[in-house]
Amino acid sequence: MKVSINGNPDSAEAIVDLFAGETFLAESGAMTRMSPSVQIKPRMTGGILSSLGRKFLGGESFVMAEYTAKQPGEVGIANTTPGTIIHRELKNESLTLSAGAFLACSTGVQLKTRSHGFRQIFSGSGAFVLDCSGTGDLILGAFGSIIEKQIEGNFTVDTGHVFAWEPTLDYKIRGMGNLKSTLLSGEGLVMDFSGRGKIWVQTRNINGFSHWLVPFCRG
Amino acid sequence: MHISIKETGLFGHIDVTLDSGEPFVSEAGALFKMSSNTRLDTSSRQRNRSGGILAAAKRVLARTSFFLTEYGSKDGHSVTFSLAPLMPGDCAQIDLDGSCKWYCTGGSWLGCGGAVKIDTEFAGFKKGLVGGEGMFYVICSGVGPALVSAFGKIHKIEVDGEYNVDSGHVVAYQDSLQVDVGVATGAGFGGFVSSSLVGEGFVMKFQGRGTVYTQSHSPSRLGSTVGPKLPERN
Repeated sequence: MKVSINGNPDSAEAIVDLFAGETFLAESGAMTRMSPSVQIKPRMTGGILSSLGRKFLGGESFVMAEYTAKQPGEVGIANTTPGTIIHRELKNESLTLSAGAFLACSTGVQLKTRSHGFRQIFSGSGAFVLDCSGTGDLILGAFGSIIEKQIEGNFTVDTGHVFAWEPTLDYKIRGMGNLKSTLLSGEGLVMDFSGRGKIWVQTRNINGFSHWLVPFCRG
Repeated sequence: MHISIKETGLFGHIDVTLDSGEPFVSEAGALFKMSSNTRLDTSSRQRNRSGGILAAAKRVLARTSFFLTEYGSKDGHSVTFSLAPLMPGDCAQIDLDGSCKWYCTGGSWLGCGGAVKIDTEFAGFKKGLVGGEGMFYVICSGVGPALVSAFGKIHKIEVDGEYNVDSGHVVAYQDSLQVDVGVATGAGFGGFVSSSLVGEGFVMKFQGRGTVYTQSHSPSRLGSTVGPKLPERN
């Protein structure tokens, strides 16, 4: 599988070129176009419970799409929101993704959803994170552009803007105010990262964008 | 006539320079700046063409404007004006040589010049209902430049054989191509169920030889992401 990305930083589409017999998994609905030699099949990853959790708590899709090329072909993949797509090659490594960041991966990558903590459930930015590990290609899609940052020490990011991080980093979720204001407003949560590793931050936040849009939608 | 497309990422626009007497028509509302000698005529039909109210109403069904804006010169000198689409995304220029027609889907038509005629055609029930590009398509024919806009990045695909584009991602295509609507996951009811499961709904299946312009993003997918986060209207 060969991945090329067109349109960064604001309207990226990833083109996945497949050899005959190659397979990859993608977020449902992410396909924009494809060769007729490619077949799609629905696939649940990580069993029914984990799939249900992902759907109702994590904001990701219940079923993923599995693309298999009978003959060499291509599949176009794009995010729902305008933004950047990045391609990572995992070499027996792990990466943790926020809800909504995942677009596609090759078969060598294992996906596992994990609960993200009590407070996060009320924050509206997804109660689950996705642990990706193994060896293979990983394609991620952001809302806005992506800032990559090497952390040594401490660093704080708004939960809605956290996109992905290396699991060598520890993190804690806390409210910017007290617990009551966090629960009532559903906003103002941040993640305090510490240790050594990389994080990726997206420059827009879908919940914030939706809030901004509300006054303009009233007829 | 000189047309240049200003590339500024997601927010491109089009500058048009016309000599006096050169025809140019655009969707109403696309104009955002112009030289002071530009003359504008708003009409429900293209100059020297029949049509009128019914054609204009069909255009609305094709997600384009009821009225069209015709451009000219007030003083006999050349004029310059700029067009901008409504959504963030690319613009593209398609040069028609008279050998074929172009279908502009989902309201992508922005304007055209020279001897390009526009018409509106019913997409057919199958394509119209499940193709995701509206019930009516704008058709450009004749000779000259046509301008289209898209949501996200535009890709030009030369089809030779067969190619599938997800519904909602088609911008324009040549009439030399055969188009059908189907599911990407195989025929029959089983194909339809698994297609809904993987969230792909329907695809436009192109066959033959010709060019298709696609867009990287789909307005309806963005809508279904943002929509549930908005409060209900009172």
